[in-house]
Amino acid sequence: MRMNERYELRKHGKVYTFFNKLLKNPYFLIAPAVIFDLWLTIYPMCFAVYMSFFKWDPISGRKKFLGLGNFRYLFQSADFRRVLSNTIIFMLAILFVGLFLKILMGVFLNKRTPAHNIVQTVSFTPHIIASVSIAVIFMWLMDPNNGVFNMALRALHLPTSYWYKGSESALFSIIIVSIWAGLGSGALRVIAGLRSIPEYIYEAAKLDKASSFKTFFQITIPLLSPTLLYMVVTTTASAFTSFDTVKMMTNGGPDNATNLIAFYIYQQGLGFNQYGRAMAAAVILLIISGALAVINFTILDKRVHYQ
Amino acid sequence: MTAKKRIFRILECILLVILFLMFVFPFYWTLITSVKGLYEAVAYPPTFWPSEFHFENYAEAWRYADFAYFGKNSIFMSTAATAILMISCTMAAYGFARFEFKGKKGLFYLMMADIVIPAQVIFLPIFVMYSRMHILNTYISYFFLFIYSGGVIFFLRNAFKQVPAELIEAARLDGASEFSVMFRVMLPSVKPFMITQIMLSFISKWNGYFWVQTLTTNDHIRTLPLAMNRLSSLSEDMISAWNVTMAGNVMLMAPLLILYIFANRQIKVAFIGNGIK
Repeated sequence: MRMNERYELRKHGKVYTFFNKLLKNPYFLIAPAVIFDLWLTIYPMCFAVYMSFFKWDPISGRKKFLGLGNFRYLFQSADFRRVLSNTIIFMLAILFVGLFLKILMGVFLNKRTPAHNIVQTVSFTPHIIASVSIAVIFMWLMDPNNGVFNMALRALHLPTSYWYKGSESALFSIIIVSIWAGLGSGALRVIAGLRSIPEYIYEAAKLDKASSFKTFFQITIPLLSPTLLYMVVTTTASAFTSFDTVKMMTNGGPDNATNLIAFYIYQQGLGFNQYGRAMAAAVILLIISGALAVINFTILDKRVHYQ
Repeated sequence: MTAKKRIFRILECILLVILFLMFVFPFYWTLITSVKGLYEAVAYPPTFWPSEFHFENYAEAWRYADFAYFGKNSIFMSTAATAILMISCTMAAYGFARFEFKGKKGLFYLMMADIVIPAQVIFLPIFVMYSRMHILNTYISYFFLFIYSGGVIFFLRNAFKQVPAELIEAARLDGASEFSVMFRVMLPSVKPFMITQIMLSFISKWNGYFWVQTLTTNDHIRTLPLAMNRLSSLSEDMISAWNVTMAGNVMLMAPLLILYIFANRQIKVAFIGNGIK
């Protein structure tokens, strides 16, 4: 057998032999990924933490150690408190309203008829097109002057809204767009979860003459809980990193009404050249993401034990 | 009892139609606006079918947002970044799945850190590094970002691990070289998983906005989503030219929508997993 291999290698020459050896070397195989991971993820993260303690002027390159000064500034600034409260409102809205609608829609669409299938498919469309496209579509639908939303309200003799251009309604508009965009994929996730529940459990419930109400809350929801918990964590994380829709539709405005933490970091850093403050906000985001990741991994562990 | 059932059936149909319209109407409205004239697009009451078709909106959007240039960038950058990502992540996943070596666990956790750390935390340090190295606005700086992905490596490692060890043993007994094991045994067995990842990667690069927005200071390596910036505040005769904006938006969405029409099942499975079948 070894003869065979030797023969094959000779057949292909020295270059072949060399690469053949490399393919047996795990360090060679993982090297590109590890090197770039260290360079463009791990190092920048450490750099962000380090820089958050400095006041740093990117133009002159001058650095001044501030200790926790940047963090103190953030928590004392009305703008950042506004950003935090916006982010939390946004998160709670897409978490509770969004998740509730996703479950309803998933349970409703969990049938294999062509009509249900078509609705499943079209509701998933927002997930595959660019967030920029979604933002532009809703900028048009929600346009205060000529948008179809306001036209419909006018036709029904209801008060119109400034939507994403009004400081009262802008955050609400962003929330609507985010919920709409996430609804289909969330419902599909719920459907996948529902279909993974074994049929015999429902048959057993039927034999016990359990009501459909009772079946839903005592069988479906508990068995769906790993999926739901996973969705809670990913939705929360997406609320804290939501950037595209805000950048495209409102640029954080009007009057910081839609400024979320991810956009704030961008605005402070590349907009106002306040690198230190941006990094301090980034560190706060990092702590939140880390906490969410810990929750997620413990859930994933549980999920394995579940079945 | 049957009357009650019939009412439920009717309610179900109504709800299905409402949900259908909720997701189709925005796209229908985009498409219909894109072929309306400037004044018809903003007319009240709105028209649900254009009185005359203005396909020149597409030409205007194409010209105004320089779709030729950004489109070329989009195609080149999405394809090349996906190819680079797949090569290096397949190598790494194969290394992590098949071999035992010192520091394996630690290095694997290091790769997984990529999933946990949001891009919004690290883009500014990367911006600083890139500008110090004078590689801002270069294609290579974009590709660097996609040489690794914790998620893809995790996914492909699990796929490689499912290949039975007996299969590799059998190939070795037949005198297969490492090359043969890799290209004749391993890769063919994980092909469906790789196709999934290629699809997901291409879609996310095509739609990608954050990295090209934050790590560029001019148009050199910007892609189609960035071209929409130019179109989103377009106006003509003091009227917002939404028809042209929407024509541009249709052109941005079209490739993926066409892909989705033909491969919606595969795409749904790719995103959600097999449970949806």
